[in-house]
Amino acid sequence: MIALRLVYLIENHSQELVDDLLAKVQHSARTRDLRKVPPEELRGRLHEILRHLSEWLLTKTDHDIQKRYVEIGARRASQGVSMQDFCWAIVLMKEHLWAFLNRQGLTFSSVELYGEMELLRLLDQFFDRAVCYAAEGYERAAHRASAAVVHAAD
Amino acid sequence: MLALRLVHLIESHSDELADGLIHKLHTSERMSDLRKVPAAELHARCHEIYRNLSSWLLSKTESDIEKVYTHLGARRSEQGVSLAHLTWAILQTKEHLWDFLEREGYHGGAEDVYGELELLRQLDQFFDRAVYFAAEGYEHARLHSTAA
Repeated sequence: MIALRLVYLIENHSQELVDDLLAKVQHSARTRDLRKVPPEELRGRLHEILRHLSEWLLTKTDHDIQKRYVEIGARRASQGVSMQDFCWAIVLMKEHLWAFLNRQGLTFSSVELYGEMELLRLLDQFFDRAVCYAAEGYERAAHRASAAVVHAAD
Repeated sequence: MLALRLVHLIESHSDELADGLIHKLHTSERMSDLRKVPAAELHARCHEIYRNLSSWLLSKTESDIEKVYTHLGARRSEQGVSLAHLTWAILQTKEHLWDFLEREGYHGGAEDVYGELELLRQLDQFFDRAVYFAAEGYEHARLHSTAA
């Protein structure tokens, strides 16, 4: 059983979660490169994930995640955001979601706790794929930049 | 409370886990660059994580993780492993563990659930930091080699 109740709770609070998360990203020294991304673009990206979390976890395929995050990785690379800062932003998002769920003071039966474990794994797999595909996007952007330098030197 | 029973289960199967992970690293196209790493080095790295998991989760600090994984990232960069393949490999190390725990039927009684949840979150936090610091070491090494 998937802990859908928790996913919907996140979706219903997505606006508040995005606002708080943006503040964390803007203030963390480990995500300082994200300040190079226009705030509205960053807000749109975070909102896209959290408002539609159930889709990302349950409906979208690995190919969908690949397509989106390779593109995002390449875009962040072109904006001068380092890969490690991008990774830390994903860490902040995960930790922010868990802190939010803990703050709700929800009580669970043991069966529901297994549902929460399943949610943890689904979230984890989604974010892991996001980071890996973004890394592929970074690599592609780096190869394109190298090829452009070689071409310019010819 | 951390599910020490599960951590010890992992540590006592560290050889089998390391062998299974290396097989995945060698056969997956997404991590094919890892074939550039000497087999003995790769085996030692995989084995070290699984064999000493309790130490990594309970005793070592973020500074310890930083030291080991920035070095690992720099080394893989020098070996010509792409950052994407390195990232897939580190996260596959965690995924492989989860698969193992599911196969072993890790679900205990109701009283164990909180401990299991805590273990999964600790594993997640450890590997998140491993990826972050590996990316940092990798990028520093790449910049250094470009400047040279």
